Amino acid sequence: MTPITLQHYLILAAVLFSIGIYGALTRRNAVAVLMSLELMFNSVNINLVAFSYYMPDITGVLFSIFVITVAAAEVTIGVAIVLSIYRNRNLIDLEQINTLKG
Amino acid sequence: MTDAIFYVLAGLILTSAMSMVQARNLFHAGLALITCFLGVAGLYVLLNAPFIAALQVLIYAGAIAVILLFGFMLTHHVMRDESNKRFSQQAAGMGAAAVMCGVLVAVIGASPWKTGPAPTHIDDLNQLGQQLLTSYLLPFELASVFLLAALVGAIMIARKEEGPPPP
Amino acid sequence: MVIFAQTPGFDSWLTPFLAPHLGAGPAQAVAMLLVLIGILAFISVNVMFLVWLERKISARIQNRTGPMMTGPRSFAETSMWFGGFLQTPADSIKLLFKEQIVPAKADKVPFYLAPMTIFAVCLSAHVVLPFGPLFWVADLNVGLLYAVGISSLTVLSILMAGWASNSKYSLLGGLRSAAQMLSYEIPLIFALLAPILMAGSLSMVEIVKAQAEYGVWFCVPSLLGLLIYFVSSIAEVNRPPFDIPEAESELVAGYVSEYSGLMFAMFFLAEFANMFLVSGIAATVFLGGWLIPFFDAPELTHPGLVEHPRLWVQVLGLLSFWVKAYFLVVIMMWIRWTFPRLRPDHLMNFGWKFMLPVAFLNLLGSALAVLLYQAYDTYLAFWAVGIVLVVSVVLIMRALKEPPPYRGPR
Repeated sequence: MTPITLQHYLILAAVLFSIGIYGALTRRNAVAVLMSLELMFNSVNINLVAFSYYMPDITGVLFSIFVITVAAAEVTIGVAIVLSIYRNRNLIDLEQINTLKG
Repeated sequence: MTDAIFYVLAGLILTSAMSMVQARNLFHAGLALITCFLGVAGLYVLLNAPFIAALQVLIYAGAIAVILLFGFMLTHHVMRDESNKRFSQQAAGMGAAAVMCGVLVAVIGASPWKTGPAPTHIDDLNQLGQQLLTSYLLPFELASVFLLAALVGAIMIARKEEGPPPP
Repeated sequence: MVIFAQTPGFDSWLTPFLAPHLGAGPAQAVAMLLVLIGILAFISVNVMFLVWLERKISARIQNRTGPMMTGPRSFAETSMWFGGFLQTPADSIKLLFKEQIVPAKADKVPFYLAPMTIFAVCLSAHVVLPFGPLFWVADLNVGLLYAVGISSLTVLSILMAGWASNSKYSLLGGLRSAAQMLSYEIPLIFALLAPILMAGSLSMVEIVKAQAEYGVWFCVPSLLGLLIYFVSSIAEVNRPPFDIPEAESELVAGYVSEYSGLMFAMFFLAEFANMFLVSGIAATVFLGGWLIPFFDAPELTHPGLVEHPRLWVQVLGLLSFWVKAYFLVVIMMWIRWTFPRLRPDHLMNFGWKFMLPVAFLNLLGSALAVLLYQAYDTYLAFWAVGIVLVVSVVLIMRALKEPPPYRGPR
């Protein structure tokens, strides 16, 4: 078994990111798409903290704090928008929310 | 020992992420997502970042996942499961993700990564605080303005229209 | 993995006894395991006592005697406070042998997982609680954040229970509880930031040491912080007057409606253990933990560094922590049997429009106190800031108070 290096963490994050992409592309429920987005945020954070550990430099950890901040705000607004669409039009399927289509 | 823990955590994270995107029942998907978040927190502990690990548990597993489950539980009777997914969409998504994954892994394997000696403590709180209020003061303040904007926006979206009550 | 701060914990007492028989490495592992088992046993016994205490206090408040029959007769004849202290063990044995009913349409896996996770979360949060000088399992350098973060997972178990029961009462209880706990977590964390700021550390042991060093407990400069933390933690553990998620008169029993037997006992256990946990955190962070007023001993101010600690001083410190924690627990029970339940909109208004601004004010005041302390090097700075804060909040509240409604000309 080879010792764990930076590449191990990067590959894990890459696979996690791809799973998130897959989820975001195939899911139709808006909340489920938000969940997949969170997976992608997490994989980015793994990268940042791993860089920070192996460089060693504190910048990566700082950036992961900002990413967590953005993720928290994003999910709050996202769920608020989804709930408001649901309340007004009784829809949650992203393919049916197409009022703005020309 | 640390290596074994890494592989166990990696397995946990990938399995739960896969079951999250595959689950028919969205509540089970949410639970799998939380498992994934907790596994990532374990990874941060392995990377000597206990502060980020605690933040991960507090914010991701304790708040974000709860908001997502909340959003799902309030809307679930519109769409119970997604069993009528189209095959073409599935295949396209799978293909795109596989290509993405292949390219990323190839690039990661080919690039020469510069690494230094591993430190004992990468998220020393004093150091973090000093950096946030000196070198990273602008992003820090922008983040606070951003959070305020998000708070105001969420309230604006959620509140009822002012005016006379409907007849 | 560097997550442990410097001071060794409770297992360091056991390791020297085990090391000659097992070797150094296994001895430490076995010591850790023994300490964990000890914590588990402690939680169970403590909860039994707390349940008995709650019944007795409610009885005293309502002019009854409470459970009197289970236990030695001669004890019960002396005073109501000695009667029936075997009632909770008897109840626990009854719950243990009851049938576990699972609703037919329940979502099985989350239904079984919910009581287990709520108890596991509660147990893990106890790990960082310092019960006395050297009486802790682990002194993590992010201890307080760890305790708060782990406790925030409780809401997930409640959501799981509410969803998996497949019953409208459970679902409503779970949703209400999620909204309430998310809202009250924010003032709770802001209240805890004040002592963290003053101590300059997240480790619970370091926070107690900082209070010893300054010569004041943190409830002096941030009395408001203590009050806000205490009120929001009552909301966090879903106790009356914040028991909207399990309101008996509206929702049967909220998210525990469909549970029976041992699984119900787990929820019950976790609720009371959480009650002690939040009181213990408040006692540690705001009320000086194991410190004793007007009594200075190196064993208390520098635990772990004293060569030959005196055991009686350490036991005294342990007792001091217990008195403070139990004082807060008794106040929680007193509140429960005195105040009526809040309405959900009142609950949200109170949390967002009153507690959060006051928590911000408290945080600013604490920063000011640290600055004053560094400038003048006297503990009176903390007293001055504390008094100014309390007086100003009282004045602001009086100024903002709405005038009584107009009742017509006299």
